[in-house]
Amino acid sequence: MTPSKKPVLEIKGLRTQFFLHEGVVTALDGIDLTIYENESVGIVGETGCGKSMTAFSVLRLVPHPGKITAGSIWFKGTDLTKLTNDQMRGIRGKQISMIFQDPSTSLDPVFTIGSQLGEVISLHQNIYNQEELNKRIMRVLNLVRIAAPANVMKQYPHELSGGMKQRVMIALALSCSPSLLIADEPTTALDVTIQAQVLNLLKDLVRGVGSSMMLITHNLGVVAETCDRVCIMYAGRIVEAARTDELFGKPQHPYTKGLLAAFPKLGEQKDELSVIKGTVPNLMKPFPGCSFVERCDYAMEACRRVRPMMLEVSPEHFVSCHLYLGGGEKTDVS
Amino acid sequence: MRLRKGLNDRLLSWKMSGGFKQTVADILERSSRNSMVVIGMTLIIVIVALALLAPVLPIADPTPSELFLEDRTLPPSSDHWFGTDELGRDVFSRVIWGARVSLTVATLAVVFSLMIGVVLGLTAGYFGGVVDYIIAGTIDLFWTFPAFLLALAFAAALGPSLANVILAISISYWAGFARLMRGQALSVRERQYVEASRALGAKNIRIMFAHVLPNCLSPLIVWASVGVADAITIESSLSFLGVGTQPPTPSWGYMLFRGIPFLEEAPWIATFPGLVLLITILGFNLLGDGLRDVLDPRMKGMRR
Amino acid sequence: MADLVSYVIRKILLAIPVILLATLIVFLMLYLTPGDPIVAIMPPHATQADLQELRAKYGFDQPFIVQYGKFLMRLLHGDMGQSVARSTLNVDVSTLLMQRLPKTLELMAIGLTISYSVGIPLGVFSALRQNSWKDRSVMVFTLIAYAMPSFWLGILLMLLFSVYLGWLQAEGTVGGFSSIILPALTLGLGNAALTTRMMRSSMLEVTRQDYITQLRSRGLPEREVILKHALKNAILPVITVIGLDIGWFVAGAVVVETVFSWSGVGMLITTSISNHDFPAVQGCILVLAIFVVLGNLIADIMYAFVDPRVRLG
Repeated sequence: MTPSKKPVLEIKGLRTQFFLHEGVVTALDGIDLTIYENESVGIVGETGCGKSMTAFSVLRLVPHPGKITAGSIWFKGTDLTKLTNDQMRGIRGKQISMIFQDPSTSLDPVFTIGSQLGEVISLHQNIYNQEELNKRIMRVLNLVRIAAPANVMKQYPHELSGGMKQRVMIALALSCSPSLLIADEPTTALDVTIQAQVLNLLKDLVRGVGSSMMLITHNLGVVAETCDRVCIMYAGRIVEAARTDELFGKPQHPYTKGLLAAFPKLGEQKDELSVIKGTVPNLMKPFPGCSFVERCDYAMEACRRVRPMMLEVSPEHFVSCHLYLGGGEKTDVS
Repeated sequence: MRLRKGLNDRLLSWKMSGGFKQTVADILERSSRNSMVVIGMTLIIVIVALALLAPVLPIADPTPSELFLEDRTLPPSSDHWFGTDELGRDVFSRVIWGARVSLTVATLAVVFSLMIGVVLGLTAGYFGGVVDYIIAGTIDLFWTFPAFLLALAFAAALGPSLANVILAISISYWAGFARLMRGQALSVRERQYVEASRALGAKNIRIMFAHVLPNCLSPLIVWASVGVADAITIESSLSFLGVGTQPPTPSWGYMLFRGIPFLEEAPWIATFPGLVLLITILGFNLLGDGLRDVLDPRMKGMRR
Repeated sequence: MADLVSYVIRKILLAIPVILLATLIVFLMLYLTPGDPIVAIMPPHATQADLQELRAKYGFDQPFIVQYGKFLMRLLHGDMGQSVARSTLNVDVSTLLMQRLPKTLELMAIGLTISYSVGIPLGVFSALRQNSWKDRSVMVFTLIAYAMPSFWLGILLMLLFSVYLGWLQAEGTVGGFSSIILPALTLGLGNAALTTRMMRSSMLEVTRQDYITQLRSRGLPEREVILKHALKNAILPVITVIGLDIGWFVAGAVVVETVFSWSGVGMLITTSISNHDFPAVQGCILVLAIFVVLGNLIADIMYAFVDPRVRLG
């Protein structure tokens, strides 16, 4: 499937910070990201690197005491950072919707599935006739392959299994055919056996509805299955972005290489799992250089002093690393 | 200035030494920053100090053998800071001596409640099975009853006296502690070090008290503090109704009762005891709430 | 629906032992009194013949269990003994209680209404403005109101409204709004403080939940997120404590009625105690205890209606 070249989402220089008593935490430090129509982009990184915060920033749902302090988020020609909350409401759930990680805490426990679905559908599609509404709800539930939708409609969240709840979440998110679906670790909280089912469902539906998807995960396997392009995030910055097969085949950034190496591959003989040494840096302390410098095997002097720019080392393959200055050739900078 | 520095240094050295001392130092430090603990502690210390020092303070006799009826219902003055009551007695002095009564009753009642509750709760939680079933059932039954009603029933039956009030409150209030301890025991007994102890052949009682109990200290302290506040409330209510401490022993509740007919002409008779009563209860409540925040923020919502 | 019914039945069954415990305690009260128990229930000027009759009726020379059994039988027939107070000599205690009960119910009903209509909105208001000066002042206020024993609050209100402002009368049941309002306010405001705090902490906890952010991400207006979803979830813990609240109210009623001379069951207890009218005291305590149990029961059932998760457990 070739994605068209029209961008649905363009994030430029996004910076989101949290203003705490103890200091300012920079969760996102200048993110540049583009998602085109009909494509799925994966955002990969370890816990705390800012993946979820990117999603929340797009939807302008950054929790207090966080704020978007710089940058722009262009969605279909409008800068979301400049909209009022009322205007954003018109976009949320309708044009951009989000699936959260843990389905058991994402549904209001005291309302039935039917009423929660009905709420969203009637809100965005202005349908108030109960019969019509019920029909739509059933249709959506069928779409996510839930058997016996009429029963499920009357049930409460705690009566459903994890997999079913996540399908309901998908139903909620896609019920109004959004242009962009953000899925934050959609399968992490599910049983391994269910994960594949839900992922496939997600893939099919997104394609069927014609949406783009931002899939956030720490699991490279999931990315390989579902995404057209991948972005690797580290400590609030994007360090590498490329088409999926390109990234897996020719990873450039040391962090990416480390991530891929850490995944044991079938048929590989290994005595020890390889690890990336060190730990994630403290996001409260601003650092001028590359954020990966403490853990990088190739760290140079420049890495400590200057933040590397994002460069296109091969078509549609971007890396932010001092090893690659001047288009793909390893340069020794001192 | 120097005292603070000395304390700070001591705290610092404790922190460095790790282990138990570090925990205590940690707690003290966080407590000092928590305004509720500070205010509560201050109020309590003031009242307790006054109560303890009552016999040696240069104040009037709260229960004089001879009454100076011509001094009845005098307004507050430099002679009588809180005025005099309907029998000519100095209200200020009676308030302070009343503090002794209330604090004694409340503290003893809480101590007894605690003992009953802790023993029963630990036993139920630790041993489980039938023992737990019976005890837990009893706890639930007592828990549903408002402690005040139980205390009222017992006090009315036993006859009004200080000892009976203490007894009555103890019998009514233990369920809260038992519930707490049972829950803690239930969760702690699954933990590794208890298994290890048992594997080493330690007797059950020893395990209960040496291992389970110390871990439950934080919520116990919080509940005990709030418990004193509740006990003071119950005692003063009982005295108000006439089933608590009997005259002429000064008791805040009783003083308030006697003050009602005089509200218009001599409001100080009821107001001052009431104010001090309020401050004392407030102090213990604040201490309890504040300690809860300090010791374990996860305990929020455990009120009642 | 079936799970709801079974839940209700279970709760009713559980309530029975509690009521039995209440009867047991009330029964035992007689034996805790120092001295011969028959003295406590003996009317003054009783003759030897009367005493013998009483002894036989109560079975004082028979084993405990038999006596308790007789006691329960009498209760089932509505016989709670006769008053031994001078002014109500030989009047059936049950009659006395019937006269007084409506007044107490009236008082508690209004008190409960005040408590929740003040407490819930105030709690929500406070939670939504967390840490602002408005929130902090509400917190301080509730802390003080909570620490005040009911009789003290009653006296304070009396001082304020009767003595200084002269708006309302302090005592008696002359009837109508003006005489019920002060005691009801005393009861209501005291509990409102507690309700406010619970509501506030519950709201704070609920608004932190994932599903609230999820609802926002679906584009729901903030008003609906808070008032429809958050509130419904937040109010659940507050409803659970309605049962405990009723217990608080009953205990408070005893004190408040005494302060304001409101002729309900609470006032009856106090006067009976000072008159050494033991049967009356027993009757009152029993009635109040049953009241508490029923209150808890209703609260539990209400809770199951509102929170579907509870019906299973």
